[in-house]
Amino acid sequence: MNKIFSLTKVLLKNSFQKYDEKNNKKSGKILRIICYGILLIYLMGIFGFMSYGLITTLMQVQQESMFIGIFLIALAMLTLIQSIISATNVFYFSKDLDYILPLPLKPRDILISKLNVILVTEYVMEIIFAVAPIIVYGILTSAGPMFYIVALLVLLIFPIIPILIATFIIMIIMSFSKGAKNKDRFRLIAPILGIIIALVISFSASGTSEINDAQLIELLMQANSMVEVISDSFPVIKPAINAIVNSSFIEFLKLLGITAIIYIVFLLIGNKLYFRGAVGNLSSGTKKGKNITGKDIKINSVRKIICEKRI
Amino acid sequence: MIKLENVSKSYVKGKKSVDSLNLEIKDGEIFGFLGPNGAGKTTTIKMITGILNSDEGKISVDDKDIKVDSISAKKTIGFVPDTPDIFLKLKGIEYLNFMGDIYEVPKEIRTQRIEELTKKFEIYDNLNEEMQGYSHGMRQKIIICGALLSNPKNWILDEPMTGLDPKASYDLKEMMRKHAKEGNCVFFSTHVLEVAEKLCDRVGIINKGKLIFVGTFDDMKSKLKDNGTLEELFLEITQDE
Repeated sequence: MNKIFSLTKVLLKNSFQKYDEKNNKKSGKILRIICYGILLIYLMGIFGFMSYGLITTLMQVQQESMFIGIFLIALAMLTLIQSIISATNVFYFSKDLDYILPLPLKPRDILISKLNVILVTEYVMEIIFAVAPIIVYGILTSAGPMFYIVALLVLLIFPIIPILIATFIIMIIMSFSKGAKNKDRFRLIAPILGIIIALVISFSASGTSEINDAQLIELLMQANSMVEVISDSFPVIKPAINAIVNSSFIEFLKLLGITAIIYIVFLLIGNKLYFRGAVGNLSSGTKKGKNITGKDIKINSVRKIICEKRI
Repeated sequence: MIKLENVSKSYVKGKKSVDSLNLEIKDGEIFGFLGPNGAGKTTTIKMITGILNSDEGKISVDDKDIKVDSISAKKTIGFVPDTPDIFLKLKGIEYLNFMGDIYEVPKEIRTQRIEELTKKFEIYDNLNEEMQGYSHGMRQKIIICGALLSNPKNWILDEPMTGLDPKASYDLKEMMRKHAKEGNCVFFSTHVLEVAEKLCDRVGIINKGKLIFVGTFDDMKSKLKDNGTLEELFLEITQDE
């Protein structure tokens, strides 16, 4: 456990960009913290106001609990998209495996530590996107302290399964696709892949019906049916919704149990899948290329070379 | 003791980067691994340290199979990679503490070893700085300190002298001698033939993935017709292949 904690700490520190030494003066740090604080409050404010609008509309038809379903689905999608990008970077493109693999660490410890790094990133995202809507909902529905405790626990556990799904998809791609070993190309494709997956899930849930002309309530009803369909196929949504809406600790335990089972299954599969793909990724010995011919030596303009390099 | 039996590795079908390598580095020995660029030195080292899996053959460190009993085998290895650009956003002391945690070095021993090693390599005063601000040589020194922190029995060093100043290089060579004298094993790759000649009990020369010579420098000289310089001997051996 201590080793996992140590590795997670080191990977986290190493993955967060810092300013160079010149900008690391105390006054600069304080200014940076203030700027980040203002940005955080601003973003939280936006999501708080959006949630306020939606919840009050739903309250007119006594459907405010529907908000939690929509909110959790949106959160799951966001986590999924973001995790696809994070998992690619943390698991495959971080260049740290060359240094980690010779250490006396179990493959499982490395896997857990890397998942922890993604999880912490998602917690930061949750602070920005998820805290304000939950607080607004709690205030508008006059929820008791149990609501906030359960909601906090749900927010801690909820991102794990979308992270595992995203990581699993990336591992499959990296294990079986040689094209994915091109870092830049894959970095470009990964977010698109994430958006496509999220869109496929939401379209398959909502059907292909035109929703442009629908009224707001009708839209929300459709959203509710989407929540129903997604929560049927996405096992953590329902217990998460029930846990928050009913402030139910039992439902939270259900969520925790499902997550734990999926996590263990993931570790069993991921262990083999990751080290197959990752070690394969390190195998970058000199490949035998074709001999050059007269055509290979050519004079190009600087502009063309830069364009080609970028592509 | 490090033992490689019939070890092969290919990155591309039909081209073996390491081809049926047999090698035994005994306890109490300093073994130099030589070869031209792209000969298979780093690939061999990566297989010994468990970074890469061999396609064929068996590698054991202190009789522990690196594939089967990898954790126990790795605990006995102190590895210095060929590039020291590692965890650069950490402070020197954070990196050493991390290595101490992973190798389960108790706090008292850790404190004493960190002080001893970093003072020897003259980076003690820089431990509270981020490693990205270190020079190449300083990074190399901190990596060496991290690798030696747990006082591992088997040292595996991939071109460890690169970037080191003369004093640090001298100190490291002395440490290697002392470590081997105490009955431990030192395996290192280098391009500097003079270093290998002065330091190593035996050397191995690898070329195009094949081990083409193993023995002492005297063996090497006696095998060759001309009594030339070290470079000439090396070139004669590697060009014959």
